[in-house]
Amino acid sequence: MEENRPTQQQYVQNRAAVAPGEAGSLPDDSELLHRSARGDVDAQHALIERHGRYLFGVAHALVGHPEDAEDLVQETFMGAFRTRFRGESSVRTWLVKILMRRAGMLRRSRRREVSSVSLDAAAEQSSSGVSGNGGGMADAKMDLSVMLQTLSPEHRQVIVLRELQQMSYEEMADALGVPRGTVESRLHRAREELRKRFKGYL
Amino acid sequence: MSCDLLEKIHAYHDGELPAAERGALEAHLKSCSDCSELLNELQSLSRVIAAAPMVQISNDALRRLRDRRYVLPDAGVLKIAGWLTAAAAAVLLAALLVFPKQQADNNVAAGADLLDTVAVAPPTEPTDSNRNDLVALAQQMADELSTNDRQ
Repeated sequence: MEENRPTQQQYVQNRAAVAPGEAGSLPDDSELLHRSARGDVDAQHALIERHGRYLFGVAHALVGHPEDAEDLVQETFMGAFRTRFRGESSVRTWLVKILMRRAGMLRRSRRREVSSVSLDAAAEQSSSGVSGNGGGMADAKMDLSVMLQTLSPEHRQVIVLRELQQMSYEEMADALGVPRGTVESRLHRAREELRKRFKGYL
Repeated sequence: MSCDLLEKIHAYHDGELPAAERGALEAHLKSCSDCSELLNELQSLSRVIAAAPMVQISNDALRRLRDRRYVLPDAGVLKIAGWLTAAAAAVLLAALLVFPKQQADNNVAAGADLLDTVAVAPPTEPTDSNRNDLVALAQQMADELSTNDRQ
């Protein structure tokens, strides 16, 4: 049983525990990225240790398959090690942006995204031990992946960027390459759908 | 509830509503139960999502992530690719200078033939769905070249 799987909030707290400044002599993420780009395997491992679990959680919420999520995280790190980090955001936010872009490419190339899972099926999956914790509807925590699988891929993206990454509308528009108005309308529709589907949780 | 109001409530919840409009909206929220209920639900939804457990990566998958050899582009290959790109651009420019515009205007087919000799055309016109990918790919290629140049 997976009783104590971390939430977004716990990932943020854990991340803060190794933030530069508090971590003494540990190199910060941008330094690790720079070393990774030069082929420093230890630096690559350190970045994967710091961000791999979180990125996998986000990737799984986006694509719904563990294998695809793993591929996506691998491609994200590969892209990160080959791309210049300009320091316009945290490294984690930048990694999530790369992941989003790669997820879009993966979806269009494979055309086998789980497009929509019924709420019943999602609830069944949640209580099967695959990704959920079962229990009563009133106090159970719905898995992020299960919640988002009811949304279209575009709607999942905006929810992840806004609710998990706390990005502004402008940042989301930049990350997704769409106008700000499109971001807003997608966010409204995504939330509306979630509000309707998970009324009992709110 | 009007669409305009709906947008403002979402923007308010996200901290995106301009300061000049916040006071009026807050006053409205105090007098409108529908709108205040919507705001409460948005806040609750954000809390539920933030508290939702994320699927954990298996130890095997994490090990595979770590053990994978992330092959980075070789500096020499990239430099040659950069030279080839510059050479192709130079050939294209030279061809356009050698063949006057008027000739190309009068004979579109001939111009197309010329271009075919100096550039490889994409098999199809990019669609809206993959245009962003192409732009992103071009951006990444440029970034990679730039990154490599700095080393």
